[in-house]
Amino acid sequence: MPTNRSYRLLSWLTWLFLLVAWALISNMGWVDPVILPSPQVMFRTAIDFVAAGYSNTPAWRHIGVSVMRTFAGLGGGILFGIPVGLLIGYYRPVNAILGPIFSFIRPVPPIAFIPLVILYFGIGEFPKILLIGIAAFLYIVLNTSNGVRAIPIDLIRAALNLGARPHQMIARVILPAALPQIMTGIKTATALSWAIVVAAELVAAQAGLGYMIMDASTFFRVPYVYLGIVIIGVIGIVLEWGTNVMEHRMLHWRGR
Amino acid sequence: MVSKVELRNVGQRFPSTASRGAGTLALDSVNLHIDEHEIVSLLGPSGCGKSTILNLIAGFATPTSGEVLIDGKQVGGIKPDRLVVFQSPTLFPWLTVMDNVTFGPRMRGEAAPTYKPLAEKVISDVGLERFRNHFPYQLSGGMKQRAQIARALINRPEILLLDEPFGALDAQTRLEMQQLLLSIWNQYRCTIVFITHDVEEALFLSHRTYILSPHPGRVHREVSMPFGRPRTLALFGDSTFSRLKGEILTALQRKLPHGEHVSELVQGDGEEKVVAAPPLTIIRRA
Repeated sequence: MPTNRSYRLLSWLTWLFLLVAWALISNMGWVDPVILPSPQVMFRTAIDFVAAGYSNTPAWRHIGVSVMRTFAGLGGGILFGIPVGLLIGYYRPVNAILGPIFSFIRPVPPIAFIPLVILYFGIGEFPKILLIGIAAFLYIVLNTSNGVRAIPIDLIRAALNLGARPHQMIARVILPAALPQIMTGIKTATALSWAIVVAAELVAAQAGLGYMIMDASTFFRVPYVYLGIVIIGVIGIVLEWGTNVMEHRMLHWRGR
Repeated sequence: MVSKVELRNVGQRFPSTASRGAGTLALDSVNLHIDEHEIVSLLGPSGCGKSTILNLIAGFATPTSGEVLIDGKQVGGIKPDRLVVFQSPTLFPWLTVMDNVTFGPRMRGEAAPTYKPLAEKVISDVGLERFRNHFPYQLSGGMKQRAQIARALINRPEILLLDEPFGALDAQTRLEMQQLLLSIWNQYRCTIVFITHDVEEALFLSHRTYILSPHPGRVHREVSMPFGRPRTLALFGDSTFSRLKGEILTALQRKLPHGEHVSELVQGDGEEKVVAAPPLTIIRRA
């Protein structure tokens, strides 16, 4: 009888298998060590990175800069996206006015805007944060307005019937009722922002994990490319875990 | 005396989804009245416009023709003096029972010391004292409807509009809820408009019942319930009760264009038989 524990064991075995296979392939010289560094080399690279950073910039700064850009952009996107989404979802004229703009911009991959924001704002912090902000904003507006439109009409009628005024409807009824879908939007936007920050740093940056990968590949410091990818992956998992915890805390009533 | 609620020649046409086309006639010259402190049922199959009538009284919609009057005046929008109890659970899922119940007073900016004691009272009136801090998802279907009734009562409504509130409950719970509603009425004496497709429910609860017929929705007949109050379960064994039930079922069936709606009306017990009606106690208003 398989139990949860035996399945978890199976997952750990996958990791173990990959690690052994990796050590074997790289140490036996089956693959050029420049393309695939061995676990020992990777371990030493990680220690070096923590101790000395990369290209005169400390490790915490590379990581911190990327995370900071993500949170700044994401925060802006959430701050503006939720109110705009609520208005679009609740008031049909607002939807009629703004809808066409959004349906045109939404299918454009945010990365396609990178050249434009560089052209307008150069390669400082602002254009990167703006790019992330726009992408997060679009996703949150979409999910928020869909969430509002999915609210049962009787719930809205009940609130109106009990005497809620327009501003109370928005803040006390529409917002919490749409919150489950808003959270879905925030989760998607978080993952997307993390992807975009890396993409933006690949193009134009002096620090950050994306910059490190790009720079390391240019100078053939392949272990740092791998290290950058692993760190990006781990932080991505942490972000997902964080948003999931937030969701369960805030939305204990969801789906019940 | 002016009726609490009156519908005069009310017609309601919904625009058709196609760009041309006359739309659907949901109500056709409906006339009815509900007196103060009266419990009146609107009984009929789906498509007879009973929920449309309720929406008009609540102010959720305006009629395409005719007048809807409250205390002799045109309905002026949505107001908490006419409160709807919905069939679907419309409690706010993110609020506890207590916060749901106090929603109305809080939105109107009343002070907590004013509404708190009242909240305790209405919550205990519907028997939810032990559940005041529960969330809606922790309540059974019947308890959710109790909470909805409490959320309405705290606003001291003059008119309570119930839209098939017990339709989704099991038979036992439904009976309990009907008795609860009667005891609530005994205490609060609000005017009650009760929508149902259950003949026994209409008979058990109301002073009068309007039988509606579908496509378009029209008032078919008006029936008075000659039973005293307080009403008890013994009423279900009463011979007049059974006779009236038979008459109403016959009236409903005769008016139906096709046979297919009958099963919907005679739901519940299978042994129901529609027999030829004895002399009618049905009355008609001029």
